[in-house]
Amino acid sequence: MTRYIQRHSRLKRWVHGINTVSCFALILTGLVLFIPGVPQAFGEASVAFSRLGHRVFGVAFVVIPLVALVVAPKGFVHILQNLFAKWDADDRKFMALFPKYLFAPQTTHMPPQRAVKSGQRLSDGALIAAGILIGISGVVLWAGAYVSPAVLGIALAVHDVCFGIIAAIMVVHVYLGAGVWQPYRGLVRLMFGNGRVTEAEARYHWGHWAEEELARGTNVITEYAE
Amino acid sequence: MTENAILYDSSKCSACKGCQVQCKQWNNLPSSLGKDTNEFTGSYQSMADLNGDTRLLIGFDEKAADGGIEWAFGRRSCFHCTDPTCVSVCPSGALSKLDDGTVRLDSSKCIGCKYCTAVCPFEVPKYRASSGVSNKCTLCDDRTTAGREPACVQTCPAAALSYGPREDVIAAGKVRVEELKTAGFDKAELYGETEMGGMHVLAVAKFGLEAHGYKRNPKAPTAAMIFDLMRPLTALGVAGIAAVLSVSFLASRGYERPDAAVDATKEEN
Repeated sequence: MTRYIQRHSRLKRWVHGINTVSCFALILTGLVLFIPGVPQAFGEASVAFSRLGHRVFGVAFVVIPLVALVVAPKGFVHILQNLFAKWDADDRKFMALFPKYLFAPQTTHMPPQRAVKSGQRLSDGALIAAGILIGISGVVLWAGAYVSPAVLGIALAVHDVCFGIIAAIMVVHVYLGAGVWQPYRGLVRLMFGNGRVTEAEARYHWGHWAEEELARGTNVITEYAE
Repeated sequence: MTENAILYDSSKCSACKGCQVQCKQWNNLPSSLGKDTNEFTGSYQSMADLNGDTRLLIGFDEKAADGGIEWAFGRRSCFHCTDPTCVSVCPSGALSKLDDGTVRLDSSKCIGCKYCTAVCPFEVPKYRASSGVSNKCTLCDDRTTAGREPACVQTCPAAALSYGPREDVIAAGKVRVEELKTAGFDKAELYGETEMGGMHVLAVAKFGLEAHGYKRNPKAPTAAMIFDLMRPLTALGVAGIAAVLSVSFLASRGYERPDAAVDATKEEN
């Protein structure tokens, strides 16, 4: 018998999936701005392709979360509640221990966490804030012919700074979220699979949340071995 | 190589706009010819500002004076700075600086990012929506490299525009300013000798810089500094984080999460 907890809904996984594709496509098509050698090496066609692609995926990056917000506003409120949940002693201890944990998981015992780990609350918050700002500044840039150079300058600066923030956080996000790091192995299916965690995984990563969910039982799925 | 420059003498300019027309003609840039297609600016100036199809504009400033109206004309176009902010932020290499001081724009390399529009202290490069690229004066580098004058200079009937070695242009400009001061125009100034590291379009401002629409002490905006900073910072940041995580990965080799123990306990229960 294995017990699972349904951690992420189908809608959340789809939004995350589309945004993942959009995000990587935006980074790739944005490289023409970041690395001058790219357009020089691949010629005008690469520029035209990048510009069109950046806009298409930019629309997806902005519109899909907005659609999800309209379809499931409670889900967004839930995300915000988790992000802004008050930090307790375990949250602070988690952050204090995390640098050691990152290099020595064998000898580091991490405190139990609630629905979203304290570290992830910081990185998710920064990602969402940077995502919103890069989306808004992207719309302003698209309307570049109709705004003043001063506004354009602000939008470009915001776009560049947010890109830096997102690129840096993405590296960590993928390392942990995709389960590249040994203690996080298997967690990739949370967003790219059925959205479930085993009871053992839940207890290891989010001890307080696991206890609450198991006690409540509404999101618990039990499967029996054949 | 000798640096060249244009000298615009506002005291000789009659604002005939021949230079505007010739600029469009040489560079195959369209003009709005329909009735009322250009916004009325309140003066004879047409149009209100540079745009994607207009690289050169003669600005009009008029004041009531004894015996009629006093005009102050200004030539608005790229100044071809020695320290061009637009070149430093251009990610595609479309903007480059030639040895003669020209800030060249190669439209075939432009990716339409508008960085140049955002950082130019004079707000000169404009986005050309019809072709999706930036547009600005190139000092007619296609003509000057063939030994000819820029189109606007060639066409000026009042000899208000001249082109030649920058040192000669500066000397001529200073002489003209002194002549104007002697004639009673105390505010006469030469613009472009030192601004932005020294510009390659200089202007004799008969009534002082402000009257002719020239910005005193122009500086690159903060946004330019952010662009210059963010590229290496992002690259270094991402590389640094990836390096740290690689060490983490190697240090965690052989580690297995204690899921099995938990599952086994549950099985017993």
